[in-house]
Amino acid sequence: MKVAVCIKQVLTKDSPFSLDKPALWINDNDVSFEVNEADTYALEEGVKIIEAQGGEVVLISLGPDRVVGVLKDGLAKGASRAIHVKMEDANSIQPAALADLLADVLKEEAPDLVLLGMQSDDRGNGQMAPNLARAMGLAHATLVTEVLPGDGELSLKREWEGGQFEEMAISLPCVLGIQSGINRPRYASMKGMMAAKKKKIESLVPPDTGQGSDTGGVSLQRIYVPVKTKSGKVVDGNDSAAVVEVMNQLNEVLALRSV
Amino acid sequence: MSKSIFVIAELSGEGLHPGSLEVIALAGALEPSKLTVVVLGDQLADIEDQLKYSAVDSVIKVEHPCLQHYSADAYLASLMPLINEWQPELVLLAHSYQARDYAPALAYEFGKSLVGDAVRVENGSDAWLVERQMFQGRALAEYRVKADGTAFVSVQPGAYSGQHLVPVSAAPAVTQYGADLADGEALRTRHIGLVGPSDKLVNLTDAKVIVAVGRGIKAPENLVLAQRLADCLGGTLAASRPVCDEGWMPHGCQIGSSGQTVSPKLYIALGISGAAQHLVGMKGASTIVAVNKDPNAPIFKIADVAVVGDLFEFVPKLVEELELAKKQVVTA
Repeated sequence: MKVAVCIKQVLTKDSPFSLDKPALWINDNDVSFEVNEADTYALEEGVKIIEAQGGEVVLISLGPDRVVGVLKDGLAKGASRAIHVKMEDANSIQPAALADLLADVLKEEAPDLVLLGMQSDDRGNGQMAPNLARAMGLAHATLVTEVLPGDGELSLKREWEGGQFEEMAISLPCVLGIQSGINRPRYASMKGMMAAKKKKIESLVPPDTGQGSDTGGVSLQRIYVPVKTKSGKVVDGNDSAAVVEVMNQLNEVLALRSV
Repeated sequence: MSKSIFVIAELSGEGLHPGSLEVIALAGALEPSKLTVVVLGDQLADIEDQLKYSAVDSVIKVEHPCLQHYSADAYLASLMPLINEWQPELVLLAHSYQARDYAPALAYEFGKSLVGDAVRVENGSDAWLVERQMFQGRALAEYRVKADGTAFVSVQPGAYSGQHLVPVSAAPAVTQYGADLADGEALRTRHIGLVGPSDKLVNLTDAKVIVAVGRGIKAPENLVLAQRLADCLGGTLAASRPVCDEGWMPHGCQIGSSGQTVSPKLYIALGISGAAQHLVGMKGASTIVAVNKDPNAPIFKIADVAVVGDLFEFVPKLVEELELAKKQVVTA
């Protein structure tokens, strides 16, 4: 099976950030980057499928030159080859237009299966799987927690609210949004890292079709860091007064000493 | 600016998804020229009786055997011609799991991007002003969504209250809309069945004290520290999603949108940054104490006491103090 896995590079989890001058994005120079966590599950699922059935995993990432880092890492974890779609400001493009750009690349590859993580840790739109499916004319399912390849279709489990799961089948080719926790993503082995050096990373520039400038009526005005909504006390955990403060709070809530 | 609004309501068990009522309340507050609630299903019986609110002008029922179980294909095939025909200026829906699956694709089909998981929607002079979270709740983003054709916005459950809807005695006018799904042979997905929670739920809803751990606990062997704190307080140990995904704790003790919703007297969050999906499950706690290294962690925005620091330094000191306090009670 030919599996395409789309991964995104995002700022490192919990790393502090500052906003850029028009307050439309963060200052990229201030932060370090890593692969979007949800996408690691999509990659692992793709690699597991080709290990069981044969085929290849084509890894795709869209962004500036630095995203080559997450492609190399993915190749070391078992992807077969990679495509870097060069774009400087992909984060300024609204999800529907971004799906069109990515669909153009994917149509050339004509994969049997496209896997993505459910949501990015930066913009968090969580729209790429359904949008990409429509742009490619394929079926989709999201929040997927189990994938079992069958004959011309896949058996899936997906998560619904309230702890419920749906068992379903989907015809191939299709696009899946993979829910985190579906598998245990592997670490890159030394052997994997050595093998990755021989694997190809193709670099391409999307044709300037003007798709990116079509905002579909949606325009970002500003990003800001919200102020506290509850007037709680802030204490420094390294200060011994912090324990006293929390003890006072606990005593008040639980009336500890009267127990 | 007065505009027509569609709310696509979702069924949940016998009734409506609570998020759908919240969205109806929000839609009413936007003072639309007409508010129409759309419901899809196999047999919708008297669903309009659950929509007897002053805000609701009319109900469109889309009934078809293929809509007995949700599928993105059947929902899109039903909703696209309906929206084309009625041309609402805004389509609003709850940002439920179901909406996450099809709402982006629905907007895409109209050449639009969904603005999803909104926490605020306002009626501007020539655009909808919509706010949503970014960077896992650490920042907010403001959008203008032009009222040019149909705009699509999904709303975070809990962002608005459905409590203030004004009940009326008469059910709203109902229109039946026939979905063009034939016998469903064009659908590319097939529903097989629903299964319940995969592992036993730990009963957290009755717990008075919950100590919850997040990614900041770093390794499963560190859970013993959190358990000691829980024991001191007679509390129950719970976790955020990443901890359960790692397999360090079972999904049955997960708090948040994909786990349980709790409202204990005391909630102690250790190493939980507070993504929206977690906060929705615990913001009803009476008192929230949060320990986190990151001073900008979103959990601090709703904490009564925000301890900025290393939980591995702070929690042992707190446990020691609590154990000492207990001894004093015994010897007193």
